[in-house]
Amino acid sequence: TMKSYIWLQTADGSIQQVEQEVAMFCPMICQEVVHKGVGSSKNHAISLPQRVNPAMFSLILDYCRFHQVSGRSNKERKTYDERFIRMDTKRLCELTSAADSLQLKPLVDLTSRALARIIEGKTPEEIREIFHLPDDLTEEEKLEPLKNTMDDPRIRLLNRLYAKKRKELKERERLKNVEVEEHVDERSVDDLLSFINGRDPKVVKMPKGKKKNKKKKDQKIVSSEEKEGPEDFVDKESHDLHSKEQGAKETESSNIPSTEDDIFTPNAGSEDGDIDDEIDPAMKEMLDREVEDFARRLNSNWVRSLGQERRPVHFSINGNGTTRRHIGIFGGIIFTFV
Amino acid sequence: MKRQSSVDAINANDQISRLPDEVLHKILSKLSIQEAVRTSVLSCRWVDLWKEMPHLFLDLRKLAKFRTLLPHVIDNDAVRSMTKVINDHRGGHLERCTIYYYSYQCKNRMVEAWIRSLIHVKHIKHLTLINYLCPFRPNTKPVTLDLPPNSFSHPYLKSLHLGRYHIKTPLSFNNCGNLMNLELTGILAEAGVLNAVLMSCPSLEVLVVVINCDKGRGLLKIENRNLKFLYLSCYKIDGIEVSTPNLDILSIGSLWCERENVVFENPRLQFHRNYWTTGKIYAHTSYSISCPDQEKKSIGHEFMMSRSQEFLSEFSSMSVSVDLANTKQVEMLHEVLAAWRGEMEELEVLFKKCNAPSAEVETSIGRTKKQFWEVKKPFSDVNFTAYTVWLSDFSGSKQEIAFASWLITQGMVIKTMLIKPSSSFSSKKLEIEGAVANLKELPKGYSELDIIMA
Repeated sequence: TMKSYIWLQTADGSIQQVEQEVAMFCPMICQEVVHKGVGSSKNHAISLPQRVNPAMFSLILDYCRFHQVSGRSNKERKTYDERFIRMDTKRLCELTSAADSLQLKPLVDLTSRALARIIEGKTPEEIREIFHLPDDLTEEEKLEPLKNTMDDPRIRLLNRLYAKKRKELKERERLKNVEVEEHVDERSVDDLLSFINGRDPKVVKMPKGKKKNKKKKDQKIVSSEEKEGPEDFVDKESHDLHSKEQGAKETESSNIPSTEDDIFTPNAGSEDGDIDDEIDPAMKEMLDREVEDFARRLNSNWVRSLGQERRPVHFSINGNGTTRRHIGIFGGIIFTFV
Repeated sequence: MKRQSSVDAINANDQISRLPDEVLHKILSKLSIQEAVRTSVLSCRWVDLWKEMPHLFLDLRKLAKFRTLLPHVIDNDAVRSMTKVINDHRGGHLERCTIYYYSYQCKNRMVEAWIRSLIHVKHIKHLTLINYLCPFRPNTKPVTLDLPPNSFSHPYLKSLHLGRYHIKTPLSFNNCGNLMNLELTGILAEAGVLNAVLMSCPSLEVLVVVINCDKGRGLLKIENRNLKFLYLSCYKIDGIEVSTPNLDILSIGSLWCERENVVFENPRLQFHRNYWTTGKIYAHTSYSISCPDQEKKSIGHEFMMSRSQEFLSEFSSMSVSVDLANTKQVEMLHEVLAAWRGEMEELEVLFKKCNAPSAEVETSIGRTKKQFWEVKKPFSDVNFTAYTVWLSDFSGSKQEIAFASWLITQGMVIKTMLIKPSSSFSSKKLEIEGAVANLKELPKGYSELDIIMA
């Protein structure tokens, strides 16, 4: 049988013919042939995208030639891929670009994975060097990840709405319980107690709330079960909330609990007052120091000897020892605040 | 340091930054989330890239630090980091978010907040949330999330997978006509609650239920009319009623209940072999291959193939009905067999008879593709083996004979092949017997293979 060929023109103007089954492995070429009817002769060669230079095209054709054969086992294909991908970083990027413009998804997947493996475990400086990236971020921009940049107003709104709703529900529950109890003959005891303590009987019944109030005093944390403060901020918000709540649709507003707002402020506790009491102060201090350390290092040149300064406690239980080696302490911290 | 204009800043050697966003997202997706977020300090091109990744894969388990394994220490770092990632992500292109964590790592309130933020602010389409038991911190209490009503009701949310939760009330699922895929695995719930949840999701096409109804048993009712794929694995349940007329695939993992109490009203999934006949030991899938619309893909099929590792696993069995004269159906069967891992216990193939003549398939090059029985070595990439094979409703057609020959000669069947002739072809009895006799003469892939006419 006569083999059919497809005519293709690369960005540099040179025209070549390629076996049909090999060329058609590229979706972009396939589309051109089927939908536009081109490629059947030298005069009607298909113009390949700009990003496909002759060297890359030759590589891609090798790839297609191997993979379009149907009998091969998965193992064979995998072995071929692993070997195919061994090239310098520059060519890898060029190949990714060319494969992408030809819509050759499996090859893009393969090269992306290879590029990801190169990036993995390296410091920003190393990555910039390997890929010739410009170091064009300002100091502040590099520190952005450390700051609390959570300014999504919708999230804040949702948080507050939710917190408010929860509070309302809890209040309702409480009132219900109180009402129920009042029907029982505990009245005399209440009266007695309130007389003794000189306080509102409701407060006496809710020791839990009292305890929380006490804990919260030292912290900026706002918990959904407490009165929100700073007061003026909250009042303003609750005014807005009120009108918003009545007017807005449910799907419009969303928030993470207001406790979230202060989570990333250093020295503030976590989302619940309870938790903070459980972190021992030595550990908190260590955390703060690590953050400071990291901020400093971001701005200075990383030295390879950093690896030796790694503290033994920071190993990830599921982490693969080798890949995490460079991340170690920094991965842990970076990730906390990034 | 003054920033140069972005055009100048692109170094001639900086090839990678010139790749389109989608490709860079693909690269980022192959990094852990920490590494992906770290790229934001590389350069201007990279600073916001991760924030537009279409898929967020957050595995808090990888962030579990050794010191937090001590019982009194709470792990805040991981939670804070995840929250920040979720908040900072731009949300616009966020399609999918997958979160795995150890149950001790996060307070429920944080998880509830993430759910709210992801669904109602970031508008994701697919959410997977699974909590795991940490081997060093066995906290056997199942996690119960306190979610407000309609939590999962949002026009964008299409699929939801919750793993290892205690579902106490169905309220969070109110008004979930938006959900197309629902997977509840490792769930503790009362049957009544689950029934209510399913009733709140009328549009479901794919449903995976792995539950323990231990506390209150009850009867599980599944009546979703649009269901195409159903996987069931129920521990301690009184009974199950499934009435889903459009179901293509029914897969049973394990059912702890009496057979009499299980009612499947699926006329298209009537087979000779099922979960009970194979001894209740193996998972069993019943599949009626069909593709009414030649252009579109079958939803159940696509789902099962995308998760073939879970659903087409070793030592399970399958009953599949296929019309061998229909090329598309044969292709689908081919896909399923090619994806099967390891040894199948039992395969039943029921030959459907369709009266409509199959259209010739034209490939994009303009040549007609050969039908599988015309090719010398059909399905060359299929590697599965089955211990026992049933060929049901055998009528002796050339396609059926070719298929059976392939199974025998290619060593797809190990021990026994049982051929059950079709009852409606009694006139062809002799022909069928002749065909079976011929099959017995074929060179066998496995020498101990017995071919029996049932």
